[in-house]
Amino acid sequence: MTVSSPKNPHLTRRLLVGLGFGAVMGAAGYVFGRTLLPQLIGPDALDGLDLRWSDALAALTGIALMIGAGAVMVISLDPRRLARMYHLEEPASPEEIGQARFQAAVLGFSGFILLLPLVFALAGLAGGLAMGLIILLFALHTVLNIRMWRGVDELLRRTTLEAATATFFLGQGLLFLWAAAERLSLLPPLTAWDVYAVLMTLYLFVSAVVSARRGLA
Amino acid sequence: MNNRLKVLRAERDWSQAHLAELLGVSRQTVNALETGRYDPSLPLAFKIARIFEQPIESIFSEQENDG
Repeated sequence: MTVSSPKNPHLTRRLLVGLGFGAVMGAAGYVFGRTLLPQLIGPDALDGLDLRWSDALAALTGIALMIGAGAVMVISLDPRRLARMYHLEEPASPEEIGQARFQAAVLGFSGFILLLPLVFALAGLAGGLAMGLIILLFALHTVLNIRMWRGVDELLRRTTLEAATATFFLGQGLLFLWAAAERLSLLPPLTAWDVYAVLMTLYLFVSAVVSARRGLA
Repeated sequence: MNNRLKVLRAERDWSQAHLAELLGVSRQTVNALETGRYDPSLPLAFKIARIFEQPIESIFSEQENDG
């Protein structure tokens, strides 16, 4: 008896459920922002703030990363649930729980860092101080990422490389089309923050797909 | 790629954790290999062959529609 590479019929359904969930949450966020938020913070509280569509995208992606990390942390409290999440036969070992928590912490930290430029800008923190903090946390994040890369085996490394490759090709394609339209004066220019927010959102989506295909989520 | 990893492991009554330890990979990797979600690198394939004392081609084979 042999096992062949599966077509994974559940992946499409899970992706559709995820997209549907995202659409519902997005709609709920929009309704909240248009109706309840002005009542909570005052109707003019956001006036005068330089908010762009990429700020909303970065905020959504950052919060999604932090929620994802929190979910793994909660699941890791029960070794059986963690094993089910990874499709393992027996409950997760203390070492596996530790690895899952470390990876979740790095994921959540990524979301936190992504939010920082927006939060600092809205808080009116001095530019040099804010940038210094961001550089410091980015350096820490890089060290944690390298440590995680060195601690995982070839499956996770391959998954990371596949996600990065797919994100690069999708991202450069989108960027080329936008750049062409921008050069032809059909679309407005983008900022580095716009491009980065799109890139991170794309990477989040692609990583979820690649991880699900490898049975890691 | 097809493989007989799960059958070979069952024949030896090994747990996923034991095989993972022998191969120096995570249980997630063993599971991904067994369910056909991941094709191993060449060094890992050789290690699997050595541990099961079988040639690589008797453990892994091409899918009919491959190529």
